[in-house]
Amino acid sequence: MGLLDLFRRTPATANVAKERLRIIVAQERSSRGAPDFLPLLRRELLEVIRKYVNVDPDSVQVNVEQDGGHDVLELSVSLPEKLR
Amino acid sequence: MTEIIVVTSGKGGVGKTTTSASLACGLARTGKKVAVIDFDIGLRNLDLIMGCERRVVYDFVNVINGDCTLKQALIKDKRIETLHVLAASQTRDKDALTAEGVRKVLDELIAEGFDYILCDSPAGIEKGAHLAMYYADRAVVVVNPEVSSVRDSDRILGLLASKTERAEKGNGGVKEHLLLTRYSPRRVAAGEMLSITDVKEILGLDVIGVIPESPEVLSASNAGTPVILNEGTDVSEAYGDAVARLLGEERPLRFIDEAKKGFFTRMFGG
Amino acid sequence: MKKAADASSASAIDLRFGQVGLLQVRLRTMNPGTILDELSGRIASAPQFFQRTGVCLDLSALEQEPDGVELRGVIDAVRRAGMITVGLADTSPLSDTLAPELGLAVLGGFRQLSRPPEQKTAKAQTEAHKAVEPPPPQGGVPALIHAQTVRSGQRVYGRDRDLVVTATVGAGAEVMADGCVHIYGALRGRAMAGVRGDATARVFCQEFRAELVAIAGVFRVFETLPAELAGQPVQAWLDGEELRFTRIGA
Repeated sequence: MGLLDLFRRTPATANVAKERLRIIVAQERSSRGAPDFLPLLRRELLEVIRKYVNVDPDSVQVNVEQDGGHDVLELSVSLPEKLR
Repeated sequence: MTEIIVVTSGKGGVGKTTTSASLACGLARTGKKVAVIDFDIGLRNLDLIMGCERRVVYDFVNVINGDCTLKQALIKDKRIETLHVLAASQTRDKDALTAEGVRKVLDELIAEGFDYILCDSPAGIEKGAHLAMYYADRAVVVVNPEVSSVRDSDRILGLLASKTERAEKGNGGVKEHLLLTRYSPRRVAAGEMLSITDVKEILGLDVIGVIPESPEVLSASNAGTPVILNEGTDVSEAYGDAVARLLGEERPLRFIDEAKKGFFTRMFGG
Repeated sequence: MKKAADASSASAIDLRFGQVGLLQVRLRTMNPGTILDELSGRIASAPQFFQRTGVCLDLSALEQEPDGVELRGVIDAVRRAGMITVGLADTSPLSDTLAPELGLAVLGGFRQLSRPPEQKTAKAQTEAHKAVEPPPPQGGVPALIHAQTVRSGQRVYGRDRDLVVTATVGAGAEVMADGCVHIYGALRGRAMAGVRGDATARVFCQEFRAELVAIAGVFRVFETLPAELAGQPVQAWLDGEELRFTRIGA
């Protein structure tokens, strides 16, 4: 370590790492408990809905939530603006 | 009462085998009867770290297949009488390991009166890793303070909570512990490395041991001596502490602070 | 062929008893790992030399009677070390019962346990002392004298007597005798004295460059020759279980 290093602050990369991990771990945990059929279910639902309403592929959200002892299948579809 | 402990990590190269060997030695040193099993089919390493590679005649798969008796396959450690090693098979057939086969061997070890059975898991989340953890009562998750290792450890924790016999039968689940390896207090102080608190916070688990980064680990593995036996070194002491905590003792964490340097050392000798 | 009817003269095989070099392994444990470790350690100096060598297992020094399963473990350990178990030594009554079970031969003519191993109990010691030495070779039989160079692949054997070679024993050649072996030339190959167990037999040579020297089954392989012996007139003898070498006239 030289004299200059005493005055130069090294970027605290550990903090960046920590933040990245916090997010990705939370993300992965939420998807971990999900049954394997969810993506397929989402796709098929999307096809059915699209027969009637032209929705965006990203507008269908399927999640399994744990509520007490129950698994709750949560389905949310956001409809396009002009239908309302 | 036999306790089955899996040493696992998800990511490779974080020090699972080093940890398995040292924990096994540490437990056996207290007079407990210990068996340590290498689950890494096709890539055995534990025998090298334990320094018994020249004594492998039979392996784990041989016992499962009934090619030999368990007694013939167990390699008695030369240093600690109560310590036994069961080497992994060099076969390329990953299906050689089956849940029933593993259960059979574990049952036989239990019947032989072993106090602890350590399962040294292979890296990854494939079958070998799954079988290593499946019958575990406790898990030591080895983690390096670095992003990919922490993330993989979290995945392993997820599997421990769902894909183990204890989880499936609802027997209170597997008791999990974190063990940090390659910890460099200097780099943590410089903000270059995740700290113990960071890792604990992200993974939500308590830490059973922190092993400082040290060239001792490499030289011990070169020599075929589990590093815990290199007495007087920080790494050996740190593993010794981890073993004591596994046995229920409370000990403060050591070797986690940077040795304080004076202004002149900082300037002239890094 | 003289006559078709004379079936015995047109035999499908020839029979002859041959003297073969076998490695005798006296077991003190039945643990396969321990055996492999020691075997591979002992032969590490010359692995090529022992590759696919026949092994005869001697059960006489075991404290507990082994069973077939245990013996199979030992046979596997020997195989891992690159050698092949061909038989059990007739030094233990167990050999007769176990050999058929494992498809092994019972082999005789080996030296009995003559000295207690270092870490034996007092009881084992007395038993060991009871073991009988085989009778030494008959005295009065003149030595077998061989005047030509013994070349690689050749073997000269002085059965029941000493062997005197008045020429060189080349690399890869083998000279052996039930008594002493004297070589009035260079010894570049292998010399074995006391082949049938005479521990008092010795090996003498004019110019020492041996690959292997054995007395009564105790052997030493030379990868590199000790400087103080190389090219010197040397004699070898057995001191207990230890093979000793000195310069003659030093």
